[in-house]
Amino acid sequence: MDNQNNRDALDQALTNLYQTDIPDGYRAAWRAAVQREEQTPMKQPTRKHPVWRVALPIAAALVLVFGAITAGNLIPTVVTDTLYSAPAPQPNAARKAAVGTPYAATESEASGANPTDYAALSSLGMVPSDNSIQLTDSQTGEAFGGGSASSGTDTQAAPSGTVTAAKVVRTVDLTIATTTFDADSDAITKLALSTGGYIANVSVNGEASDRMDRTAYYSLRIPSAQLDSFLAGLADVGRVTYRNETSTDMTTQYSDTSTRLKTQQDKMTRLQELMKQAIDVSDLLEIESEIADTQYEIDTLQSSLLTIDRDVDKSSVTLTLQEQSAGDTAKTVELSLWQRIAGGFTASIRATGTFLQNLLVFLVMILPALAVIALVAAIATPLLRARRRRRAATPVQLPETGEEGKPAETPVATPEAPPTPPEPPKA
Amino acid sequence: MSELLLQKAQNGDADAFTELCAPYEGLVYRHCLQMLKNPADAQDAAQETLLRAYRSIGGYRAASSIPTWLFRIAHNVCLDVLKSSYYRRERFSLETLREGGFEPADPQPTPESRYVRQSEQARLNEAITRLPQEQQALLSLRYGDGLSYEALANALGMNLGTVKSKLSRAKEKLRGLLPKQ
Repeated sequence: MDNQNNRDALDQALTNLYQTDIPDGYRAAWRAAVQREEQTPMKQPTRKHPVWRVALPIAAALVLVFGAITAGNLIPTVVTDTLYSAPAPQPNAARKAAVGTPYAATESEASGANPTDYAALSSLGMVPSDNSIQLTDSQTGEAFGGGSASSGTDTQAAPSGTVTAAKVVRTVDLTIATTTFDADSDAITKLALSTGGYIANVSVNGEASDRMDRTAYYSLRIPSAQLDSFLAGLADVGRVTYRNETSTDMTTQYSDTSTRLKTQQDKMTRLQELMKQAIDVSDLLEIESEIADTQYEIDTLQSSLLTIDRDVDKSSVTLTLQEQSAGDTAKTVELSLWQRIAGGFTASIRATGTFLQNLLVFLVMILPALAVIALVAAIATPLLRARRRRRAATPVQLPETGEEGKPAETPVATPEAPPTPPEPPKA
Repeated sequence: MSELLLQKAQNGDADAFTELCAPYEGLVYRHCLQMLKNPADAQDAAQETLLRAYRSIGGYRAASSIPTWLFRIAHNVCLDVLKSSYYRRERFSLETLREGGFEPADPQPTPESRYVRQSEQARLNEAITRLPQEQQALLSLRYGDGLSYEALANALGMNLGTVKSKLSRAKEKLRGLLPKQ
């Protein structure tokens, strides 16, 4: 009952509220205004800046995206490459490493007789610090058969030309993909040094960034006896995507070279005896010339044997370490589905985080420009308002153009009513 | 709503437009009066509303019914008027006149009854303005123009049940918005 009364009361209140007499002047005036408007050409309906409405948000979004990308490219994310860091200023190699330049030390540098360079390499961890590599004059120098310091698997060939063990040179070529480039670089270095080997050459392309596209090329010399353990140790470093191992039997070549060396040494002995017996000056000159040629031949052959010994003693490992983003990991088909999903998800999270960081950097970057724009707006807005006020103060007229929702600064004057206004239909 | 009338109006026929919108002139005027609280301003705004509607009917796509569309235009026009410095200045002038002793004639017999009526209407008015525009238009057409449910359904392009339901919900919501006595 109460509800019914309430409903009736509300209906009555609404009826009273809406019980408004519609002025006849208004009925006639808007009809007349419409009739007058009909005399002017009907304007085609135009949307209110449809291009702006669409283009403005898109442009703003593009500015933010490109700004963030640009900020990400412009602003360095790292200052130095910490892959190799020299503890103290060192000539040449250490200086290169200190400025983050990928350092490439050639084997000749590593095995050369320059103790300063060797010390620098040692300080960089590229060679064993305990000088286990024997780079003495005795090894690179005069006599071949004087007891090499090499600890290879072979028994040193005697000048007599008899080879007591096979001379097999092993070379390994590896490519490893990693998502933890720095850690794996260190691991490779430590592993190589722990086997008694050394890094003959290393070069790093690229710099640490979110692109994760660095590549390191290692040329390692690993004692042949430790090669297998070294390769086994690499199982903990990244993911091996390519492996090629070659064994070359140099026994025959070594034997031939040894025989030729023995021949030349015998020849040298004979020439030296002849030299002692020679009286004629022309004979002496001829023998001396022959001795020089023979000595050159001996040196060359000894060098060849030494190279073979070194190659047999220390296997050559060429290792390419490729930094790989988690996104690339997601593309790798060899991985399991879960690993690829996890890699892709991680990459997405990382990319989003990076984008947001870059966006923040960009927003901070453009603060000065925004300040200028705000200043211009602060100056222009009062001027525009003053102009609007001046226009509003002018005699009021019906606006020439008007659309739904378009601001009308001035109320519209009521046009004069026609003498006989039509009666509006009543529903 | 006659499609033919709409088509003619969209082609610029003033008579067709008049015939199409005349049933809702009261709706427009009442809403303007409700917002502007002044008959003269409401008359001007209502006229401007219909003029704007005539100019922009070419872009009318029947996404909403004609009365709802007119109601929305009227609302925008009134907002523009309320924002305009001209209007504020005029209101100030009227206030100045009142301060000077001018008092418009009032049909209410006694100050008490006038006060009660005005305060009740003000509360109701305030509550109505918080309704969605479609419901406001519905109430205005129903109670202002006295349209039947069938006429409302025809005007708003809805079926009869929907109109009844919407009207009922509008009043229910209005009751909830009204302060408890």
